[in-house]
Amino acid sequence: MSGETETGVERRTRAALEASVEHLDGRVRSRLTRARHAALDELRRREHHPIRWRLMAPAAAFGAAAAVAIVLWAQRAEGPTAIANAPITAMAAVPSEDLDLVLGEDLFDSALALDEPG
Amino acid sequence: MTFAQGDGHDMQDAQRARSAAFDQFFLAIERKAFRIAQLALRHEDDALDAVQDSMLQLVRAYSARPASEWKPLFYRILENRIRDVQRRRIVRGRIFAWWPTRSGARPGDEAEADNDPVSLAPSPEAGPHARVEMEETMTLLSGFLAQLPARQRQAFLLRNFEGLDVADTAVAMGCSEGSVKTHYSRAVHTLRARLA
Repeated sequence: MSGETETGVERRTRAALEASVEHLDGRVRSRLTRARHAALDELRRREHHPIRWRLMAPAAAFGAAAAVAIVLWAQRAEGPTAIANAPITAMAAVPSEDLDLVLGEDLFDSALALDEPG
Repeated sequence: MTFAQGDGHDMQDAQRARSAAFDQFFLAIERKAFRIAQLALRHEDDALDAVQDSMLQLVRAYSARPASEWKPLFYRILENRIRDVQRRRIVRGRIFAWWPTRSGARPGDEAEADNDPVSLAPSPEAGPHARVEMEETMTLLSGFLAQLPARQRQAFLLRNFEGLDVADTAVAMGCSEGSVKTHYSRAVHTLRARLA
């Protein structure tokens, strides 16, 4: 089998193995048939699902694009104040308040007093 | 007929053709796959389970691949299943080492086989004499093959029995073509010494 001449051992072994699979008993043959049918059922199930996805995918993509467009259009219509009041802009005010909480009022006041000239 | 209808019919035809191709493929390999699994696992039901799992896994993961790739992929999956079963056995053996049980037998196996009319039916192809002779030969051969290291046995069965070429055997075994040649020639050498 290695590309060169086949030896007697290889020939005899293969013949014995091939003869053995020709005469499998009924139970094994029945189980193999059931296994094959189960695999083919699975194949059919899997091939039906992608069809649904293929039909639904363009509609879903269109819906998502439309939703993004509406959100962008609505933000633009509200003008620059809407952008200033947006949560991300409001975050800029947070650090000084946090500092009060972390340092405590007294410590914060003394820190400010150190900064003042005279 | 509209374009969409035509497209749908084409798709259905393609699916039917693919299903028929898989049916033919499984029919062609199932018995040899079972024998290879049985020689590795030395347990009929475990071998049948491994073959069924491999068939399912092939259609789940590789049904879109060209048919020419199915065989090496199938045997790759089967080999992984065989290894999984062997690992599970080792773990089970460690845990239940103290448990009194007959080797290879599972509760209900015997009763199920006794009650199954299909298993009691005689094989239509062989007469009793030929069957006994063949079973003796197979028992002897199974013993020799079982004594081979797993990789050598795998290379030998895939090349010699299943008829895969070196490249496909390498894919199935997950190793280089050089390793396949080495494993195969060592297996032949060992078998020649034992069968002489």
